[in-house]
Amino acid sequence: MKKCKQCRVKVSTTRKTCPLCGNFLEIINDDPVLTTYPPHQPLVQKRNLFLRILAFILIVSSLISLLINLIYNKDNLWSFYIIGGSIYLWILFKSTILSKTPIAKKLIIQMIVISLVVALIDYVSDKKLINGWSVSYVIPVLSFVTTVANIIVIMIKRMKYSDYILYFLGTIFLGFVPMILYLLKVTNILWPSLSAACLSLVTIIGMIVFGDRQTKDEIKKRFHI
Amino acid sequence: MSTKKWYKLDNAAKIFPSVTNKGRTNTFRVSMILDHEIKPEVLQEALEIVIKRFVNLNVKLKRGLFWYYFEPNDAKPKVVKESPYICQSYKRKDLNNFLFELSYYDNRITLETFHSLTDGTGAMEMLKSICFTYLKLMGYDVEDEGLVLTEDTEVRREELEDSFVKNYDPKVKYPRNAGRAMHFVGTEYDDLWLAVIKSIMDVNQLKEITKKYDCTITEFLGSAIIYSAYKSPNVLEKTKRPFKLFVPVNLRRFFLTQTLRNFSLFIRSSISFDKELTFKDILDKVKADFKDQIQKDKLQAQIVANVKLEKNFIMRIMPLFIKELVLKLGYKTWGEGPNSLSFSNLGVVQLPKSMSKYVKRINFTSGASRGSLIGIGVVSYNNQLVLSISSAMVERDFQKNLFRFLADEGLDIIIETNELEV
Repeated sequence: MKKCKQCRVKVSTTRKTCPLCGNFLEIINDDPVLTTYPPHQPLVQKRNLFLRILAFILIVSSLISLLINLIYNKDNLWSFYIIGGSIYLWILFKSTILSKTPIAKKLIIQMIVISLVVALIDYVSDKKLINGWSVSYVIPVLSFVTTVANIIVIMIKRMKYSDYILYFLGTIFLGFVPMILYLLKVTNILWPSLSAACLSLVTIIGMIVFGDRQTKDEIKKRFHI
Repeated sequence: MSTKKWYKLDNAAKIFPSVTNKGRTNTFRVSMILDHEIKPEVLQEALEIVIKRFVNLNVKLKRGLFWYYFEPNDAKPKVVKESPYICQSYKRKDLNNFLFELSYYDNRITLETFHSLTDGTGAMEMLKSICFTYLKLMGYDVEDEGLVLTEDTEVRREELEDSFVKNYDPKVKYPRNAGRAMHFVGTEYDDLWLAVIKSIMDVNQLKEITKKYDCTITEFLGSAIIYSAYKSPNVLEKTKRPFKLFVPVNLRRFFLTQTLRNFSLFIRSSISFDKELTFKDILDKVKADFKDQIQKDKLQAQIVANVKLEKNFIMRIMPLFIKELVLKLGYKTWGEGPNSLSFSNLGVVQLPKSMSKYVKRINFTSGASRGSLIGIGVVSYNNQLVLSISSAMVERDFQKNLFRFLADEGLDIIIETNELEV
């Protein structure tokens, strides 16, 4: 045990100086310190070098192409293909390949990002979105495929059902988006949008008819207000 | 509720997941120092037994579309060696989604708990139970004497109730007033280090002093804290705003409940440092504030105001990510802004006689944060009061002034610290 004359307190420590005022401590007796603490160690920060390199390359290449594009041919905005591709690559690595989130969430992220990137490319190449190939064909088909993939995932991994259900429901509801776009006359090709909407509808009916207690409980807690 | 598969966060717990980050963890720790070195295997065994008893500890936090909720956690909680970094965020992979961590170091057992699970009183119940089971497994002859919840005490429904909602009465009115307070400023540690200074005092000595001042121990220590802050202007903001001491109040004292979840509120003692102050001035103000605010009907009014917010229809149907944004912004203004320093007294911990032979000391540390640089926790046990100051800043002026003041009042203080050289 030691003592600080200035602070008038006893200090149980192996230190030579007072932790309060910094003055030298006086030794009173040889009693061992009352309690010990784990020694300070710097915190190790884990950084993913691969992701950093990827981010660097993607940002730099996007900026360079945008710059060249703007200087030499403003009429044809080809650099947006590269920017769109870069965004997609980033999401692909960050949220899908290197991420540990549930598969259903990865699927829905992929669906949304691919849809947006494809719409961007479509818009840049044709200067318009109405009746473009992206909204007419690619996005409805993507939605259809994602819903099918999700159904398969749930069939296979029944155990993790509860983790998936929110994203699964999300996918189902996004399945109606192409149909809404059709009704808003963004596209006039009916069959892809209608197929996606029908699949969503069938899945909902299937969930209501075949869904067990577990499904209902899960929905109840996820959506409690 | 134990048969129910999931439950909502209690009224006080709802805010914490949204406003927690690495620098503001909303985590606190309680620890018991035993008379022998802890055997981790035995502690692990004790934890696995006790976790089955404490349903509200055995959970993970899940996101719904509108609110967070708790769901039973099927993983196994792991006992670990104490980390030098105290009160880290619950958002760590090594916790297996649990919101608490049980650790050991030398002869100390430490329970760190995220505030959404429970408050200090609840955490202490669990730590008591864990230590009791541990001692029993070690072969010591300990009896619960009705003071510890053991594995064979039935889980009572009341332990899991949200006592805030239960005591909700929409007829009571509560005025909100929470202007920004003066805050501590200083050199922050550049990692997430929290320096902890623990001081050990004798309760009888303290009682003699409080008799002289005609006040309670909490009022005396609270005033001493404000006085020391007043004496340390160079670690305080230069502002005319008042200094506000944030004092959690255990509502179990006022409302009949068995809950092991959050059931505490707070009062604030506010004093302006504009004029010359003596310790007596501060003590008078603190006593008046305590007397005025620690009243059942005023506390009930505060409960009502908080529950009303949760029952607000707009708030309920707001998607969680927007809610989180609102809470994050609001917390700086309403949560952290009005508090200069949090001073939490857990009160006296009673252990069964057969058990207290082996428990040398009990500590309670409330973690400081980057938004509130100093936090103080107090707990008494066995005539020994431990006041522990955690600090996210390097400067020691406040701590120095506090202990010098207490020493001048005639207290024999022993301090210890977790820091090496700064």
